[in-house]
Amino acid sequence: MSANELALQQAVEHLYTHHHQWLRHWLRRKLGCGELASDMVQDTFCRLLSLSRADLEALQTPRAYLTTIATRLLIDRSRRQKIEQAYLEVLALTQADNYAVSPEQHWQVIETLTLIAGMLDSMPEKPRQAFMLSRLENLTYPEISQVLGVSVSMVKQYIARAMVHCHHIMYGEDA
Amino acid sequence: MQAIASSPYSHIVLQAAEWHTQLQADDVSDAEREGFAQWMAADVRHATAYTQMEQLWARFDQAQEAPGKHALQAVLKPARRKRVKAATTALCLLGVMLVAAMAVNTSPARMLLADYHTGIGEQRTITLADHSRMTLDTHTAVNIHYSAGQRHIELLQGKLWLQVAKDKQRPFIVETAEGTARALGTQFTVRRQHQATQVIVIESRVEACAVQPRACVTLSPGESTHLQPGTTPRPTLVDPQVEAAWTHFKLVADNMPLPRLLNELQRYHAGHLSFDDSALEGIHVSGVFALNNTTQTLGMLARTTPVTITPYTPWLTVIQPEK
Repeated sequence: MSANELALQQAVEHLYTHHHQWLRHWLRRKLGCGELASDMVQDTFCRLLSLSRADLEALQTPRAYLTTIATRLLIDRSRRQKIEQAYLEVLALTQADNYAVSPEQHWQVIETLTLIAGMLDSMPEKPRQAFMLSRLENLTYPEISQVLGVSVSMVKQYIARAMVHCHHIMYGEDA
Repeated sequence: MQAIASSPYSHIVLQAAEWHTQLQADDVSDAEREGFAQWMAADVRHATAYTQMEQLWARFDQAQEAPGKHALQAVLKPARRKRVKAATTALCLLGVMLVAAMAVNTSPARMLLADYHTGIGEQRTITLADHSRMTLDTHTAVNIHYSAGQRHIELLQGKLWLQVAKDKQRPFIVETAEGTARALGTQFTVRRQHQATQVIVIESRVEACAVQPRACVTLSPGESTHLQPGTTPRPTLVDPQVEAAWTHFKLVADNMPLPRLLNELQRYHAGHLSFDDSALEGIHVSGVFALNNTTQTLGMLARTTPVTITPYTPWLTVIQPEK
């Protein structure tokens, strides 16, 4: 373990010691389930490990930051459940054999869809519409320009903006 | 924690996104390709960012498949609409309302931007804010307008089956271009075809109103009426079970003219079915036909009726009477 990693771990440990009880209590009140709250506390602190030490030490209001991360995780979790439910509903309705997959593949599909939903959800309305019509409905740029009532060059700008947005989520803003 | 907006790398990411978007167009010029090659060669980070764009783009493959697309719509769409809190928790499902329409004049844009829509051959069930349930048939588009005063469903195209939650304060109304169907009690059906809307009642009663002329008729179970411009709505008798078969991807035909059956199949079939109505008019069919495998159903028709069915491509199938 490098000196840098060690320092990061110490910074996270420091936060953990001082705030994990409080966060657990906060989550427990929100969720009404102690076990689930403990899981979410772990997940929240795991997320901190992906930050830099400087960022961690610069935190002015660690509790506000922790609740922000935890809330985001809660949203992901409920989104994931909704996606899985809707996905299974459609499978049951179409009874399509060609979607039969292994549990691992199923998990992978739901993970990917949750990630995609997260990207699309936080996207501004117009870029999202343009991007979805292009990527999911396979419409051409002139077709999208008709649907949205904007110029083709505007459509391209929207889609490029959408891609930048996804890039920030996937690779971070300062990669 | 935030990167500075003008940092060099964020600029490269934007350029990569712009190049990627440009190269997806149908009309990429040689000059653009040349410009792209130069940009890629100019800095090793350009190629890295561009590869990331391609990987991002590929991630969305999953969402192109029907189940994935629907799963996404389930989480994305409700956030855009105003949500109305159910006035009471003591809700009960009063019954089933089936709404069917076959609009041919709905623009693709309205269809795509509707609150909910299904593709060809797909069905989907949605639970509404008041716990009413709605099943969309193939190629169907609806907008949902719930407010404190009423529950209003706008059917742009296709067919709906609705199980309406009881709420005396807020009437449940389905509107099409031709008129409205208002739930007075429990179960009913509406169907719209060639700019005419058909309302069919499964259970309890429904008030169906035409727009032009302004006229209403109250329907009882097993009764149906057509709403279309210039005609005063009158009740006729139908078999509710036959009318509800589509919710199981089935079509029940009793001595049905073949062109009518083919028109129904067309709604579930991605490719175009080409046939001459007058040439096939004399052929009648009876039986239960599967709507979720139209290719197989067409194959069965070829074997059991005096017609020749020739698939030229997946997108064009020609049906002709046997010589």
